[in-house]
Amino acid sequence: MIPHSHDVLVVGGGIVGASIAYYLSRRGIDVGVIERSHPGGGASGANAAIIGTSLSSPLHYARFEQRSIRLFLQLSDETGRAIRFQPCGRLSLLQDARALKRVEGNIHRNHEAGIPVELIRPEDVGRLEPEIATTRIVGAALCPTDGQIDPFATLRILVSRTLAQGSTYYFHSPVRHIDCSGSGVRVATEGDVYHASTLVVAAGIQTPELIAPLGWNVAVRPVRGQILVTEALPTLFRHVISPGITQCPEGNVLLGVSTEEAGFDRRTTLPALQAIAKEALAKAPILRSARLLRTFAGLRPMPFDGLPILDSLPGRENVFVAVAHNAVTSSQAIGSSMAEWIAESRRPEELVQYRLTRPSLAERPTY
Amino acid sequence: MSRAGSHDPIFVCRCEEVTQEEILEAIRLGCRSLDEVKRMTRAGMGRCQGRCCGPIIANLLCKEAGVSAADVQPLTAQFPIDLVGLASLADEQAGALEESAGTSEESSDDPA
Repeated sequence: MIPHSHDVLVVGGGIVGASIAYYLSRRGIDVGVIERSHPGGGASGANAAIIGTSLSSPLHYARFEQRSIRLFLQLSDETGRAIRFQPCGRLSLLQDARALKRVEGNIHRNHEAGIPVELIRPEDVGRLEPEIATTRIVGAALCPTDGQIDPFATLRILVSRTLAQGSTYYFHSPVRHIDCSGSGVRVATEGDVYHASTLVVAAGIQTPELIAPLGWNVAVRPVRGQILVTEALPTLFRHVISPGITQCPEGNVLLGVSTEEAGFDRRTTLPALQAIAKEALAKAPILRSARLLRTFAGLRPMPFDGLPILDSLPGRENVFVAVAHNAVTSSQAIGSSMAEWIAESRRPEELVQYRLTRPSLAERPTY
Repeated sequence: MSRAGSHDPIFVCRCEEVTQEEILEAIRLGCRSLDEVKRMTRAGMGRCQGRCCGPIIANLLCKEAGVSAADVQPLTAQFPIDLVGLASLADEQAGALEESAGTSEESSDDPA
C-alpha cells in the first residue's frame, strides 16, 4: 500500500476543517482532508445558517467573529456572492430587564472593540420588523454586521477552491488510527494510510475520541439543536431575529434552535419541536398560518466553556486541534489564523485565549 | 416545439432550482448518496422533499458515479412528511401526539 503524502493532513471536512484547508492551500501548502462522510455530514450541514456576533461572550471572541465576518465578505466578493452571505443585520430580542441591562452594560465596551451593536426600543423593533410582537420585549440589540449564509454553498465553494488550489479531499474515509510517535504523523483509515509533517484534527463532536489516544482530553460534548423549516413564504422578516427566526432568501423560515443534552442521538423529538413552534408563534403571530415543511436536528460541538479550542497538543507542536461551537460564524477567522500558525510556525496573538488546557474547560457544565 | 439548447440549464430539483450541472458537480466532488447531494446542493430540500427530483438524482448517481441502483438509499424522511400547519403543531397536546406515535411504533415492532 502506497501512503498518500501531503504537507498537512486535516481530519474533518466540515466548515472548520474545510476553512483551514482552504487558507492553507491558498498559501501554496499541500493539504489532504480526510472526511468520514461528506462535507456537511455533521453540524456544518445542520445549523440555523446564521452569521452572528456573540454579545455575551468575552470581547476577544466577538472581535474574532467580526474578523471572520470581514473574511466572509471578502470570500463573497471573490466568488461572485456564491456563498450567499446576506449581511442583513441581526436583531436580538431582549425579553426582560436583566437581559436589557446586560447588553446596555456591554455596549460601550463593544463599541471600543469595534462591534457596532446598537440598543433599540420596542417601538423601533416594531418599525423594523412589523411582524414581531413587541409587547413581549423590552428592547433589542441590533448588530448590523450579522446576517445569514448558505452553509451548503459555502462548503461547496471552500471544497472546490481548495481542490483547484492543488489540495486533495478524501471522502467516506473514517479515521481508525493516528500515530504521531515519529517526526511526522501517520493517519490510517479502513483501507488507506496518509503521511504528513503536520496534522489538524477538526472533527467536531468526534474530536475528543480521535485525540484521546494521543493522551489529551478535548473538553467538547455534543449538544443537540433542533430546527423547523416552513414552506417558502413572502418576505416577513428583514433581519435575522435572535433567538430563533431566520428567513432565507428562498422564503423559507428557519425556527429554532433548541439546546439539548442528548449524547450522540441526532433524532428530532416532538416536545422540542412543539416548544419551538409555540415560542415562534408567540414572537411572530403571523406564523400561525404558515405550514411546516421539514424539521432536522444537528449535533453541535460545544466546548465546556463555549469558546473555541484552537491549539497544538502540548509537547507535540505538529498536531493541532480546532473545534468550535457556532463555528459557521467564526470559521473564516479560524481558517485564516490556524493557517498562519501552521505556515509561520508561530501562534498568532488572537489564538492565545483558545488553549486546550485553559482552566475554564476543566468543568463540564450541565443544562 | 423547441429543443433545449446545450447551454440552457436543465432543472433537476424544481423546488430549489438546482440544475443537472450542479448535481453533476456535486457527484464530481465526491457525493455518493441522495443525502449527500442534498447537503451539497439543496436538491430535495424544497416543497416536494425530493419526491420529484429523488429518482432523477438517483439515476445520475448510478450513471455518473457507478453507484448500484440497489445501493441508493432514499432520502432521510423528516417530520412532518407532509405540510402541517405550525399552529396545529404548537396547539396540539404534546402528550396526545406522543402517545399515538408511541402506539404505532410499539405495534410495528411487536413480533406478536
